[in-house]
Formats: sequence, C-alpha cells, structure tokens
Amino acid sequence: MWIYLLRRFGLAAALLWVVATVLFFSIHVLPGDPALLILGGDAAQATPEQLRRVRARLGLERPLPVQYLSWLAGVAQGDLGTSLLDDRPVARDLANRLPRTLQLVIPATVLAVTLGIPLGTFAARRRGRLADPAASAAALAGFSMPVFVVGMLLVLVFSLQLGWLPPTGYVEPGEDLGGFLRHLALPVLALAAAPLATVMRMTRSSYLDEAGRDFVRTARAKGLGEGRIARRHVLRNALLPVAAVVGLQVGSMFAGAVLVEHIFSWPGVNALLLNALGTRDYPVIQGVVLLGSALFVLVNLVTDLCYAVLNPRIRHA
Amino acid sequence: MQTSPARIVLGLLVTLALLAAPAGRPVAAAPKPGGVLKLALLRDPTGWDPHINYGATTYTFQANIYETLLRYSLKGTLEPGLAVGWETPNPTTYVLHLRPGVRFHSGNPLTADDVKWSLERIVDPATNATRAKEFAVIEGITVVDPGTVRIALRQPSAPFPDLLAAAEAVIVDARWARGGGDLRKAASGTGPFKLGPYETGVRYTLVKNPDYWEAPYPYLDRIELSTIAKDDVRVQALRTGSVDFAEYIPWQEIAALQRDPNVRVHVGYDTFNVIRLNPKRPPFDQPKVRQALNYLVDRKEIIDLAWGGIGKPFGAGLIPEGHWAFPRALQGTWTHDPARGRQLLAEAGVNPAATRLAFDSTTLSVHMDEAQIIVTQLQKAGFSQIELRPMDVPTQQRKRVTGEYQMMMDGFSLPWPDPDFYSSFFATGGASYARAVDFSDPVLDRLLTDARTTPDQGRRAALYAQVERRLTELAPWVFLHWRPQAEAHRAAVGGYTRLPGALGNKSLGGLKYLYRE
Repeated sequence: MWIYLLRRFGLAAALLWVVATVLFFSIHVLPGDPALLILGGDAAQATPEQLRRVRARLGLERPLPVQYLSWLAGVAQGDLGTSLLDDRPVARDLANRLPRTLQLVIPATVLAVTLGIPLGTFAARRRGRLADPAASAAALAGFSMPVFVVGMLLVLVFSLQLGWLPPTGYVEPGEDLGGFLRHLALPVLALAAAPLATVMRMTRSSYLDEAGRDFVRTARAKGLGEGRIARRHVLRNALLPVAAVVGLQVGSMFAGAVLVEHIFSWPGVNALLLNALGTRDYPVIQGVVLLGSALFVLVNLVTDLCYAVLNPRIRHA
Repeated sequence: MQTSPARIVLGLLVTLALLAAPAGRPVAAAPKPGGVLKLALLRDPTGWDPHINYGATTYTFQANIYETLLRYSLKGTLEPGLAVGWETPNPTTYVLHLRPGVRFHSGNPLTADDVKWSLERIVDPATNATRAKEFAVIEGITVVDPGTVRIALRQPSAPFPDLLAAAEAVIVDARWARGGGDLRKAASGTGPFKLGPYETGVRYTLVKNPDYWEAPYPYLDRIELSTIAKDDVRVQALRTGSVDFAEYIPWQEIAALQRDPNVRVHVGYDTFNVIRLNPKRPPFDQPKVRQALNYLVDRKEIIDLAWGGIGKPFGAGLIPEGHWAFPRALQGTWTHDPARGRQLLAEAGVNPAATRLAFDSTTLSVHMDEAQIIVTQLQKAGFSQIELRPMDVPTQQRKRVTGEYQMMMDGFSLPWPDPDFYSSFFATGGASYARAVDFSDPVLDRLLTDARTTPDQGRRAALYAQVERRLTELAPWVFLHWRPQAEAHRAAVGGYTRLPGALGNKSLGGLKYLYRE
C-alpha cells in the first residue's frame, strides 16, 4: 500500500514538473509584450528605449533558460513571483481567489454526485419504462450543451424573465450570506449540468452491469429484498467506476469554471487567468496554470486512493 | 358662464400662488446629495499611474481622482480648472494662478511646487508618461510663489492650453509622493472622489471627497465599480437593476435600451475605425494604391451591415464635424467609386488579381465584423488573393509599435481635441503610426509645425484644411468611419452629460455631476 502511494506521489510530482516546463516556454513564445501593456497598452506611444527599460526592470531581458530556472527556484520555495503590472505577489492573489473558485467547484461536485447517483440508479432500476429514456434525454441535453450556453440560458430564464436571481456578480459570504447564496445559485447550476449528466449515465450503466451478475441472482435466490440487494450489493460495486469518473469530472470542472467565472463575473482563480492572458502577465499566467495542474493531479491522486479503499482488489495487488 | 364669488376667490388664490412662485425655478428640486452608484465596467483598470494613458476604463478612475490645471466644460470649451487664471506676457511664457484653498486627498494643500513636480514628472523619461513628447516643449518651470507658476516654452505652442487640460496632465500630490506614496498602487489627487478600498480584478470603490473645492459636487457618497466583461450580461445587469450605470453599450443593444422606460442611453461618436497601411510594403509603397483602397471600400455598406446603420463615414480626414477646424470644403473627397479605384490601380501598375494582401484584424467584434465585410468588398474589386488574419489584442498592440503588418484593421479615438493630434500620428517620428512604418512627408511636417506654432485660430483652421488635403493625397490609411459609443444608466440616476465631439469618451470623468433621484 505504501509503495503504491509513494509511486503515485512520485509520478504526480514528475508530471507537475513537465507541465510547468511546457507551460513556461509556450507562453513566452506567444507574441505580445507585457512591457507595452504596462506602458499604457492601447494608447501607448512607447519608444523602443522605454520598452527596453521596462523589460529590463521586469527581468524579461534575461535569456529565457535563466528566467525559467529563476522561476522554478522560486516555485520550489513557494514564491510564485509578482505580477508584472503592479507587483502583487501571485501566491497571495491565488490564495485570495482559490476559495472563490472552490465555492463553485465543490457545491457543483456535491450537486452532481448527490443528484446524479440516485437519478442514475432510478433510471437503471426502471429500465425500459418511461422514466429511463426521459432521464437519459435530459442527461444528454445537459451533457451536450456547452457550459457557457447553459449559463446564458439560466441567466435568461431565471434572471431576465423571472427576476428571481441576480445575473452576475459576487458578494462576500461574510457580508451577506443570503446575497452570496443567491449569486451562487446560477453559476453552480451551470457548472454542475454536464458533470451531473455524466455521473448519471455512468451510474446507470455501471448499475446495470453489476445487476446482471451471478452473485445478484444468488442473493435474490437467498430471499433478500430488492432494496437491500440494490444498496448493499449492487451499488457498492457499481460506484467504483463512478468514483473514477467523478474524479475526472472535478478536474474538468476547473476548466469549465473558466467560462462560468467569465460569464458570471465570479472573481475566482480562472478570472485572474483570463485577465492575465490579456495583459501577458507571465508570472500570473504561470502561477494559475501551475495551480490548476497541481489541483488536477491532486484530485486524481485522491480518486486513486479512494478507489484503492473501495476496491480491496487494488490494495493487495 | 356666471362668475360666482367662489370662482373669483379661486381665481385670485391661483393668481396669488402663481405670483408667489419665483419665476424660472425648474420643476425638479435641486439634486439631493447622498447615495451609492453601482457602475459596471467593460474591463478592469490596468494601472494607477495618472500620467500614463491606460485606456478608457482606467480613465474613469484617473479623471475622478485627479484634476488638471485647465479643464473642458460640459460644452467642450476650455475653462479654468486648478488654475483660476493665466496670462501670456509673450508667446513662449505662461503664468498660471492657482485656485486657493484646494487640498489633496492626503490633506496637503495644492501649491505651485506640486504643479512643477507633476509637469516635470511627465517630461522625465523614467516616468514613461504618455504625453512626454508633447510636454517636451516646456523649457523650464519656475515657482513664483506658492500660488503662481511660470512656464517657459521652447517655442510658441498653440495647443498648449489644451495640453494643460489633457487627461494625462493631472496634478499630483508631490509631498505625498516624495513621502513614499506609490502611484502604482495608491492615489492622492484633488478630485471629487478618492480611491477607496479595492481588490484587483474584483471590485473597486470611489469614495466622496468631502473637502472637494467645487460645491455642491460631488453628490454621491460612493461609487462601486466592478467588471462585467460580456456585453450582453452587462446590459442585462443594467436592465434588471443589478447595476445603475453601464459603460460600453454595444450598438446592437442601443435600440432596445432606448425603448426601455427605466433606462437612459447616451450615444456619441468619438471612436473611429481605419485600416492602417504600411508604406514600406508593396503594393502600399505607392500612394495611388492607398488612395485606390479608399475609393474601393463602400463605407455605407460597412456601416449598414456591421453597425446597424449607426455610424458616420469619413469625408476626408479625422477632424470631426462641429470642430472649429472642420474642413467643410473637403468633405466628399472619399466616395465609393470603384471605377476611380481601378483606374488608380492601373496607373500604379498594380494588378489586383496578382497581388497578395494580408489583412490583420483582432477578433474583437468591433474590428472583425467590419474586416470580414471589407475583405468581401475588396475581393469583388478584384483582389482575389486577400487573406484575413485574426490576432488578439496584445499582438495588435505589438504590431502598432513594430509595424509588422501590410494592412491592419484598427480603431481608436483622438488623443485630444486639438488638431495637433495629427502630429502624433503622421509627423515624422510620430509614435502613434509614422515611426513604426517610417512614414514621413516633409510637406506635411512643415504644415503641422506651422499650425502648431501659429496662435491665430482662423489661420490654424486653414492650415489644417491643407493638412487634410495632403493626407487625402498620401492616404496613409483607409479612413473608414466614426462608430457609435454609448453608455446607459437607470432613469433614477441624473446628471450625466455626454461631452460633445471627440471629447465624448471623456464623459465618464464627470461622475461628480451624478445624483440619485
């Protein structure tokens, strides 16, 4: 077990390093000059000497490998650098904003799981009858529509037509919990739509797989009630692949959160990324993507561990 | 009808009431102070240095926190700002008298030393100030006494008063800055609002300056600003009342908002679109080819298709209608004349079917929608090998500086209302276009220098008409059209006025006039 864990950690760290390196060199290849944007962007009348001066101040005149090693050394010590635009420490910005992205991702995951699994089981147990294809159609709709379409539709219906919920924005939960929850509702729904559909479908097919096995027939023959069979025997096994899928969905939810944060002006980590891309703020871009990758790797690691816990066969392999 | 005693008494009472009401009092009472305004921005402010132009959204902050020596009235005319009066004992000397009793947000009083420090900071190359080149006309600044400043110029400069009213020429609290105030993170100006607590990229506040010198402004206690990047969501937020004021209303929403009784829309034309041509790259090394493009595009069709019919095509150059230097006689130079265009191409020896054109445009809809239409128009005119190349905004800004393009879609507003803006674009070494592509014309340079150093406005207007004529001969750009810019606010918000002409995009500097009904 411990060897398994150690191996997984080692792989995760190596993966992160590869991501960080590829990321660093690819953003620096992009055209566009942060110095130009610092000097006023749109209205800049900057001379080449001014640009060179600003670039030197930002350390951008050093050869690229030197900049890379310097950044890497900083990351190893927990220093993600400072924003090129106004010297804000990147790590602090990420620390401020990460909770807000998690405020979207965690409720969305919980929603996807707590609704998706029962719905999937429900559909599986009523296979062939009306409820099954109906639920599957709804799932297909949620899954096929891109997250920004779902988001805009929700705003159109719940905000513009019905006026129940505000269309965008963010309120500190400490200041106004009611307002916070009202602003939270639509972005979470938008983010949860596709994962919910996926979890539902996965649960349904996995349940049907397990329900067809011999040991279920044996249990029924022994006289166990359907409900007990469903809960204790079928579902426990059926949930294994679902757990893997949930792990992957959480990872992709961080990507979906970019669009949701943009549409709903939710000030999370991804909104920071969008801004930084527009101004070529390299340290911020690197910091956000590195954080995203680290979280993704971490979530997958946890999923693997859960899998090992749920499925004794893995543990003793 | 019998006139009963009751009617007579009633009539007398009404007459008395009418006489008692003072004549000329407006029906609405004076604006009540107080209240909070929620304002939705298009993008976050990029930086806080008031001597650098970061674009329109950052301007909203800079112009309400800081002030200039001279300023523009709501009618667009120059009037005293922080300087109550000035004299010019000779054409190269300005003596300015500062308004007494003005304080910065830090509490420090406004003195001539702050003026000297601020203007010298603009000229200092280390600051990278946007107006450094224009302010280099200053030879020296002397503090005569705490309320008087003398500025000596190297040569006469007709636009100098406009320069002192420029958005990037604000007066900064020198003592605060010398004492450690960091202009990149904080602010201390004389303006009606102070920079309140903010979280970058999330929300910003402007807080009422209770000691502001111009009573009764500002009315609002606080303005809360946050970004809603998507146009349709920003407009929805205004419609539902989530925000009270929204900047940058896209043209598609203008008509619908105008029909909404709870919303007031203000539309102006202060931004324009052009196609930048690179005279170092064939076929645009020949003026006739550049002129030909100006005749081959159909401006009316572009405006109808890409802007819903809302837009004003350029007749000649960039000076807008209503401006004192507007050359009426030249209007109508640019028409949609494909025959003339083809003839010019033939005279230049250019065969459109054999010419490869690479047309760069950002993916912003204000550029891309139009670029696609222009490509179709040029294809119909014979340029079958034209290729549209999309790019993002930072790439465009880089190309503006390096000149790495053959033809590039662009849109911006005039840097300031004085026609000497032409120098920043087209004078030899002009940083807003000429330098990047080595555009240089001695005739134009001489005209621009004369116009800049002549004090007589009539003579200047005649010179700028010649400048525009020369520009239509040289055709460095395809001059397309003015495009609509609009802001909107809830009907319960009063006091907002859009400045006329090219000053329109400075209107959000007047948040002090806003009040809640």
